[in-house]
Amino acid sequence: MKKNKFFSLALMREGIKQTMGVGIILLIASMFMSGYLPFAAMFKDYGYHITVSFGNFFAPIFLMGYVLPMIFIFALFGFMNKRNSSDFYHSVPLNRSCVYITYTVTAMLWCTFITTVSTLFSYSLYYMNSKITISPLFIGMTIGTTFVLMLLIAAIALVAKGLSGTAFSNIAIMFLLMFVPRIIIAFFSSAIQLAAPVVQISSIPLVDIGCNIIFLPLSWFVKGVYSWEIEPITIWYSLILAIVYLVGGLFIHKARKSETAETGSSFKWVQHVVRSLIGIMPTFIITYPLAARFEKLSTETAIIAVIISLLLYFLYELATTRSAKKLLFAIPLYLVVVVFGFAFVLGTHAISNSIVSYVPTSSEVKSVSIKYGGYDSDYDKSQDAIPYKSYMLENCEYDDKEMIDILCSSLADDVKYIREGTFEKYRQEGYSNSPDATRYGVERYNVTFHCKDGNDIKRIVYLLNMDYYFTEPNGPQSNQIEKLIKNSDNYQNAITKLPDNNEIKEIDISGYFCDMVGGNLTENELKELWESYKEEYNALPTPAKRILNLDYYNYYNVFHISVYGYIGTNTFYSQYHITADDTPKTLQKLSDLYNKKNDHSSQTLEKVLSGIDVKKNFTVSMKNIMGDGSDELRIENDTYYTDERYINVTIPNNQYISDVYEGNQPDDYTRFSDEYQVSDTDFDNIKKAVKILTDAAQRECNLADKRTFMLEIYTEYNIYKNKNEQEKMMYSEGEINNYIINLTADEYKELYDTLKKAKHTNQ
Amino acid sequence: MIKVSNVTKTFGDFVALKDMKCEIPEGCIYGLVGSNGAGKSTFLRLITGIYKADSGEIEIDDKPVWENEAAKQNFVLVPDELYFIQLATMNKMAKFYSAFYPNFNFERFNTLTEKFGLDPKKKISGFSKGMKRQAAIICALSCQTKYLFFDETFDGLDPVMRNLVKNIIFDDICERQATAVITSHSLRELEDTCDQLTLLHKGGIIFESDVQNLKTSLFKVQVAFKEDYDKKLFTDIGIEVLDFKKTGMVSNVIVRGDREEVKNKLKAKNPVLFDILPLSLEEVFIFETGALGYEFSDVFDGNTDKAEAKTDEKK
Repeated sequence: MKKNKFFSLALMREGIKQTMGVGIILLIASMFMSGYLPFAAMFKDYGYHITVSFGNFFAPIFLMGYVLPMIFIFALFGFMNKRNSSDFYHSVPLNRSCVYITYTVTAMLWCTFITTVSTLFSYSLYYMNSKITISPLFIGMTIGTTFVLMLLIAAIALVAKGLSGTAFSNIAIMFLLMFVPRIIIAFFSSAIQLAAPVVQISSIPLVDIGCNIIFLPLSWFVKGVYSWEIEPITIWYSLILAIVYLVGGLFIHKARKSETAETGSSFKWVQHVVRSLIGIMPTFIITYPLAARFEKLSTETAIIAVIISLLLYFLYELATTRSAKKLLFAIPLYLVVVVFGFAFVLGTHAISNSIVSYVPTSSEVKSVSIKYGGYDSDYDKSQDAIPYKSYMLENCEYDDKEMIDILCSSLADDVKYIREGTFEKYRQEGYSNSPDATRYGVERYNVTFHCKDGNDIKRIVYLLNMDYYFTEPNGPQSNQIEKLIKNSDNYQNAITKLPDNNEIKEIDISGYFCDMVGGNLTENELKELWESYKEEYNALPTPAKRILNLDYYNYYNVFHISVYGYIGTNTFYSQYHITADDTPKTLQKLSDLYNKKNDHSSQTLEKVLSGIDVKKNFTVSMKNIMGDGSDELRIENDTYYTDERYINVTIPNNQYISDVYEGNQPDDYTRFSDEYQVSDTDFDNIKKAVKILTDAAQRECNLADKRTFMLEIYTEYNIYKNKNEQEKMMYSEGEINNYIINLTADEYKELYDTLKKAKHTNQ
Repeated sequence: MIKVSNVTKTFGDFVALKDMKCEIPEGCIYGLVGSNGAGKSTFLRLITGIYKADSGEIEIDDKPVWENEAAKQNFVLVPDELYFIQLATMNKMAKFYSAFYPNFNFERFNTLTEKFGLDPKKKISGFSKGMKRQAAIICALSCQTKYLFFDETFDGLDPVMRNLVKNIIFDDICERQATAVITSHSLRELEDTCDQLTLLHKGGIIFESDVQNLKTSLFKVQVAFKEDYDKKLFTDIGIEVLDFKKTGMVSNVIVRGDREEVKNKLKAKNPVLFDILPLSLEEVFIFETGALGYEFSDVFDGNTDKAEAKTDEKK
């Protein structure tokens, strides 16, 4: 006998034809959604380099992944909702398995096609933008992750279609299947967390909400984690769940009677299950507090919950069957709701008890990994890219005995308080055990105890924080923990580790002067600078590395070398300071590159000088490279601030630039003001001062020199004033030339004296 | 051959078919008649594998039908509620059928389409109800399957079309030894078409017979004798009497048996009046169901033929 086919190419072709219109519309919509951001980015001038985060890239496509499978499954299997179409498909020479498998493959083919095209489209647009860095890994990650999501949703939709015979009931059962199990699990895990606050729910993978890929975005939101991490357990669990649903769906479709089309449920037991679920939901009002070991659950609340549960249970039965006989039959089946409630409470107690029953002793622990709220370790991950060091810290292990002792004993105390029922008092409200019952703040630390037997135990450890309320000489342990962390070699090494070359995608020279230097450097030159920097940096002692690695720096105008890259799908952006003291060779290389690439010729300066004319506006400003970025000196001739022309000179009080030291901020300015005078003599001194500066600009400079300034000459600009007299909005357009100059002490003195002699409007 | 053995099918509390047993031989046109809700459509859906029987067995050519792709390639169903693929034209439907029926004949399809006067490129959704039915019939006939099932298909056709389809079916039967199963609630529809007729009532077969045999084996005898007589006169001489009505000396007797034999037996009694009259199929059914203890009106609730006859009488 000829064997039945399990797949029909002809049916698949037919299915594709039937859904062609829908498919094209969804393809266009998906490409629009995925292409909008990268397309818009093409027209934005960021002024700096952008590294695309995985989240921004994959989110639009992932969102489409929720919608596509539902639409295609409901479209292709829509025949099951009408008697005539259902009978038709079951009469033609195809068995149910063949129809199920073929149309499922067709739906997934459409979904994968649309998401793949959209992914490639989005990637191409980003790739074409030279100001944007994007990792090719994103393509595979996006397509793969979205495929798993779509497969799971398709599988759930298929089961829903098999269990019910109308569009409304299809959707209702689909959402029931999608959400109710996870809601129950969420209640379950939340109750465990409350009953045993030391548990890290994320360490029990299957109860973690993010385990199910459908809830991944929600888990990121709930946890406050925006690093777009997708754990392997999420992929595997969701894939296995999808396969289970697919196989279950196959059996359901095979068993489903054609005559159940146009009826709410295709199987009698579906009625019982839905009814029971409806009855169970209100009972969480009782079971949840019991499971979470809340002290208070009022009798009135419990009674009301039971009444609501019974009402909904029987009303649903009456509304759907309209049969008093079936209503009577449903009464004993309410036992399912009761049994579920007991199982829920007992189950959470069993798990929470097992968690608190084991507390590792410090002798059993080899090392710990700890996540805490310190600045370096818990960077604001809402940014697209975070410093490389933050990722290094996540995997850092500490084997300091004192740290291990503190954490183990604190955990033991936490468990003791849980057992005694005093956890809230001592670990949430922060009361200490001392007779005066001082109250402190409480810090939570997610700790992984790496045991000597190879096991890892993940717990939340609660420690009192003395800073919140009280200061004591031997204060509570949380600050001690932070001190121990920061003093540990592992921490210092993690903080100061440079990214590996294979993790780096872009290198840049940033800082205030980047336009003059970094913008003109080739990829090879940047790589050479990075290699030079790495060599110098790695030779430094850790404290020096630490300073170069700080996210903030006292010197506003120093050069930074920035690296952008990916660790997996996580983006990082780190910048490291280039200084004369610590990285002189790299700074010298930078100087050489600057001098090579910038035009110091007199022709350029001639043009510049010719632009300085009394009839034309100009501004010459000079910034101390080691200062705070404000103007060291400024000479301007414009009508920017008033309608009358003026010459304004601003110089610091100290005549000579003193030895530059960290934090030098000239903030005592003397402002001179005078009436405008069309006097060549006055203007000659201004010009003389400017010449000193422009002569300096003709020389090659040494960026390591302490008297290094940025000179900005802004000439031939026009000032536009808003015609509306009510507003004084003005803006200027002109030509800017920037130079880095070194001034000798004599030059600086002469400059200052010349300016003092020059008559200007603010004298 | 189609073999149905002790098949029962229920829908909730409603028993649609109960212990149904029948055999449909090859090369015939099998008519299944019964009132609404008798189980005709259910029966067809069971033998085409749409429904699964709660108990019993259904085999076509010794192969079970349920979820059997190979078996399903041997038959095609034209249901009472038609279905066409969304936005389909006849050409599109033909392509769909041809993908699953290996013997689908496009030449035949084109010929039939022309004969029926339908536009194969036009969307079927724009056809009238009758035209849709014709389109479904054309597609089914083009599949050239061994078994053809029509569920109240002929009820919606005009006499010309009905005749056309009937002739095409006859051709198929003659050429390919095809078998057609036609259900209807109208005896008149099936009278000229079917070889075998089965009467279905409340989920069970109450009467099944060859049509020719039905018409010849049951007849009306109009007779009168000089002497007084009653029904016993007939039964004593071995004549099976289904109905006896006497008005004066003349009686109308519905008899089952061989005509010649009955004629000879009665002629031997020297009747003053003797005539043999044929019965219409409806009359045959009336008496056959009556003999089985059913009221015909109960079986054919809402039978339009009977309603028409009553109307004629009033006129």
